Amino acid sequence: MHISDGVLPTSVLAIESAASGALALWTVPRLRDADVPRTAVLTAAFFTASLIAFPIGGTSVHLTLVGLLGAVLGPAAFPAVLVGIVLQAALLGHGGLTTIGVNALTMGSGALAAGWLFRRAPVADAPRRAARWAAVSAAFGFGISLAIYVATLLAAGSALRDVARLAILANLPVLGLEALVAWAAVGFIARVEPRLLRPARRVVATAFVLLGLGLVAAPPAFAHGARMDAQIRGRNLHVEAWFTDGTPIAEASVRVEVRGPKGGGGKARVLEGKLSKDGVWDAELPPGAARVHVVVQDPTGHRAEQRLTVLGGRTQTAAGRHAGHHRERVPWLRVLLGFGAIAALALLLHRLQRRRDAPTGESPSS
Amino acid sequence: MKALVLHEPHAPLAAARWLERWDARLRVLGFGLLAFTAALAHTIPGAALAALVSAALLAAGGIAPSQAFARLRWLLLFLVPIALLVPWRAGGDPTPLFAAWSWGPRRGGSALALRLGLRALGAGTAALGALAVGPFDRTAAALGGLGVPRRLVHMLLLTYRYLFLFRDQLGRVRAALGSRGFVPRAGLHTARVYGEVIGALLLRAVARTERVDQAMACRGFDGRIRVRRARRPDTTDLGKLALLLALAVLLVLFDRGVFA
Repeated sequence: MHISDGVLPTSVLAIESAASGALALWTVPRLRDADVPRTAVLTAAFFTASLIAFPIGGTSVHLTLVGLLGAVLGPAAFPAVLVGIVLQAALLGHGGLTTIGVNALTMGSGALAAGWLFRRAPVADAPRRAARWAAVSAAFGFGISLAIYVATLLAAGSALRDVARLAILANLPVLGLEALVAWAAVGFIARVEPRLLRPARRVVATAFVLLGLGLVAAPPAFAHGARMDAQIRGRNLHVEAWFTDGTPIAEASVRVEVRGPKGGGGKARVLEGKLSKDGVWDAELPPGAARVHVVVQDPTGHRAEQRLTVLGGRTQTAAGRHAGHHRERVPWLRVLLGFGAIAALALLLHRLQRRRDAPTGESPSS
Repeated sequence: MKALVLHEPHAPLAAARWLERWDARLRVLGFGLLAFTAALAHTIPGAALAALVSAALLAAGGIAPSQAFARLRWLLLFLVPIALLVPWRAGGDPTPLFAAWSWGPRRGGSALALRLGLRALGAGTAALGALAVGPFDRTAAALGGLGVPRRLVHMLLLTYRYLFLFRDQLGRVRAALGSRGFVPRAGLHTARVYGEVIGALLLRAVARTERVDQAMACRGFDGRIRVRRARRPDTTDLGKLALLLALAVLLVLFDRGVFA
């Protein structure tokens, strides 16, 4: 479940890498220097385990083990996933260099979610229950990772919709397999070394809530907008509409209000129609048309409008411009504002956490 | 049939002297920039040229095509569904690619699939130069020199150190399973056996972490891992970086149609 280099547009790459950076900013400082060797050794064990090929219907799959990783490592699962992703890119050729942040967000979020759920489960001194909860947590964590993976592919453009569908179908058996393997592994650990499955820490819950908020906020950022271009050629009105990823808006309704010259009075005449499958619509304007207001709206709520003034055969839009081509520029200002908001939120929470964790003088020395 | 099939990590790519001896920080920076340039190309000619430049640089760096191809296998596998499914999507221009085959691939979708494929190949090839050349510990230390947090770099170094140890342990487990006649199949029994193998591996890892902690405490470990300080980049190192930067700028200008 890795996304390779070159598939994602700049905006998706930037937003997801920033979110991944915020999660790293949140989790890495919580890792004490003394914990680094222990976490690294466990990360190496997980990385090695993920190299095992599981036979499935004539082919084989590799497990991500995100659920198990979250259950064992807790909040340290995110740095562990980040390290694993870099190693996979460098040693195996999985994923890519430009998508390290995207892949870390996909897998790391699943690991944090699984760890959050497992560490809240009543599993103390109950190996069988621990195994069952591990299976549920692993399925939940893998499901979160799959959801982010699919959302990322969809955000890359509607052309990747079929690839996203295929990813869901291909990964559903893996979800079951992850749950089964986590069930067996945690059942074994809970019988032999139950202290490895430590109790919960609040940071995971906080990070998970943050992630949930991020996911809720993500769809507007990923949504594609509708754009249109209307031109008058002679007496013919030509309308073309497309989504920001370049896909034509097929069969959306078009409503055109045609008025006479300003101050001339009179009621607006209305023309209505539907765009073709190629997102195009042509109509003949009634005589005396001077001001034209075109609205395109598709059934899912995407809407674009344009006003035109007819001046002696020449056409002028209200904004004074026509779209020359259908590619949208990257909204850099919005991306920068998004970065700023994520960084400010992460810093604020980091400060609050540090203040809460600051020694009060009453706690016993360790 | 093996009792447990392991996907082996690749050895570092053997490269020519000029690439191998290049300051690792500048190599990661230069090839990383090239990877981003290829990954974000807007046009098919821009993406194709970026892929060609990346491949030419690796060839000039003495990297055997078979080695590079083996590393790009997963990337190519990822591109298969894109190559098979995206051409049937409109992707801006719904005109059929072949006039006689109206329900076949569309021009817009085919162009998009080609662009994504070329971008992926270009970026993937450049990423090999950044991450896969030379010993990995040098690359990890270089990431530290480029501002990656110290704890993450230490984790990278230690994870890499223990990775091969656990792989050898799994090799022994594989031999043990094979001697008991275990044959992996798609089923509950195999999932259970693999789960217990992974559980046992984790327990061994925990036991090892305790020994590692004790050994490091004995040696006066203060929480900081000392990484060998990299030498100062010389004029040749900076010249190589300048060349890659210039190539990246030229590729962006070409992609934006400045030379058209």
